[in-house]
Amino acid sequence: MSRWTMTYFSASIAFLLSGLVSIGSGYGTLSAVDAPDNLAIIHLIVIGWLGLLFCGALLQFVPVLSATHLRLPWLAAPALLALCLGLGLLTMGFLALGGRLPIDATIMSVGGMLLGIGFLCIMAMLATTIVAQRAFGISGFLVLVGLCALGVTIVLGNMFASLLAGVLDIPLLATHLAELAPYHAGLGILGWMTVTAIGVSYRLFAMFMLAPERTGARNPIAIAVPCALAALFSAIGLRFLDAAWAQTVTIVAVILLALIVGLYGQDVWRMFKARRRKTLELNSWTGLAALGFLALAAMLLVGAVSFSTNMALATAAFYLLIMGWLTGLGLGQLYKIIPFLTWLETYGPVMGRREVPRVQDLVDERHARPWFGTFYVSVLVGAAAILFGSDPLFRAATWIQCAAVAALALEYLRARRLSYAPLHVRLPPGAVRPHTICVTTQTKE
Amino acid sequence: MGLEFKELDVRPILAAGGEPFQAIMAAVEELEPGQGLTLLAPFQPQPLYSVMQRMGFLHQVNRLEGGDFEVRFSPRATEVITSDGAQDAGSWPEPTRSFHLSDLAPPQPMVRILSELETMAPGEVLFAVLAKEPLFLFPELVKRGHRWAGNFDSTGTEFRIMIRRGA
Repeated sequence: MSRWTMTYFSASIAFLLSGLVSIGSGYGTLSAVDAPDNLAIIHLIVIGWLGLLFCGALLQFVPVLSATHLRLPWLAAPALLALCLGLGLLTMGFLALGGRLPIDATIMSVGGMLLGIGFLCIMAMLATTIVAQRAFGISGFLVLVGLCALGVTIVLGNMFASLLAGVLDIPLLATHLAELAPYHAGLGILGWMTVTAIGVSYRLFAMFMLAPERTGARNPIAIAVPCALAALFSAIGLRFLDAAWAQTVTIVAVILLALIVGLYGQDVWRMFKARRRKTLELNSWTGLAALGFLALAAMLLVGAVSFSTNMALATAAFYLLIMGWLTGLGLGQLYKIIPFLTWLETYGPVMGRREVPRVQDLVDERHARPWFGTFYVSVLVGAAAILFGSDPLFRAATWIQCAAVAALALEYLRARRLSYAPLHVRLPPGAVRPHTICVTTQTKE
Repeated sequence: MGLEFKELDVRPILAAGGEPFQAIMAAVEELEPGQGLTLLAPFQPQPLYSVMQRMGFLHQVNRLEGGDFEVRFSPRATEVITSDGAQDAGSWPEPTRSFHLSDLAPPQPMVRILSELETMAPGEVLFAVLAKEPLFLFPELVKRGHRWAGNFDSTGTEFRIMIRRGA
């Protein structure tokens, strides 16, 4: 069990809540998506929440997917530190750019570099763990491909940070900054996170639904994903040469991505039909709902790049990807991962020797179910607010989201503190209550 | 790692009045070592079974919703993995207990196995069939001084494990 996973999760939830509170309190506006205030909040949510969530979960799951132990595990703590510090400096830099902080925006580029170092540590741990196995199925393959996209995202991000901070002075880059920004976002959210989430969820859906895995490396997705990313990379290069070609290649990339979403949806549907577990748990249902948001976002995105006059369409597509698909999936999987890891950590040593609770005794789905519903409805309202350009509606939707996330965070905390476990088996002799935000009893393989 | 399966759906070929045998053989040719083939067909491809068996593949049939069949062909031998000190598993005594746990949702198989081991005498052997390799169980077994050896069955859909109780 990875020692720092819970710390990553705790930090990520804190970043999500702070981002949502900022939006609700009036930071940012829908009228200018690339305003510094907006960029500060977007990075807070995408790197702080999703980035740390993905890193924490991958440090835990890549060893499981690869059936081996994590390589370079000592990098996990420094990576977390670099990511949090880097994100803090980057956010302050954006606030300085927007005139909200009287400091030198140069700290942005320092923040960008720290983020780069943090993500490089993560990439090193994951890549060495995956390639240590002779054969890796589609899950490992997609995680590796996703890491390439993460790498390019970081390089672009660092260039932007240095340009905006005035550290770097390359006029050619500066003139193309506005055109390149969507690729930075697309590579991070689609290229890294979405591809990774698809890869990992092949194993997770199979595991949680007791369905046959569809993990053959010859799955068409294994070809379509590298093609889509190659198209995105080429489009970035073409932006400097020929804008019309760049646009065409981008459309090809987005259509490929939509195709990938379709193939993935079909695979999940087949697993769903072939599942042996008839009554699904809440995390599987929320995962399936998240997939619906992914499909919706893919359709909007195809529309947005094909008829590129409507900025709101692209914004709504990215919003649905970030909040509906990735955040929805993340909140749902946390509802399974946290109780499971807590159960393993607390009761592993006494299992079979004493009576212990079941994993599902650590949660009470009746409490969480309405909040997941509330969350998803608020995401739909938020997307509608973006399409109609209504800031008040968007802020209202965000406050509701914030309430749902806070309520779910409380449920995670209750699971971690064993609050729902029946009293007579909560702490049998020999079991130790786990620390809330870090794993103290590390299981060695 | 579980077995990887390449998938071939011959239903469209048959629906169009075609003969899928060539496509199936082409797919088998393309399989990598250790890779299996999942075939989706509207009926059980009986004649294919003996052909595939001669080529070193075993099969397992699942009936799908709607009446079609999913046939999994998998290469026969799968690698045995063991804990430290379990290389002599071939000469362990016959298992005194055996369980089929592949239909239990994780982590119940882990709980069941650890509970059973507690009631066994040192040196006794337990055998269990699971849906996948129990990655979280392995370290717990070693920590408690037990030794284990296991592998996937020929179809790659079940993991068999032998565990010898430590002192």
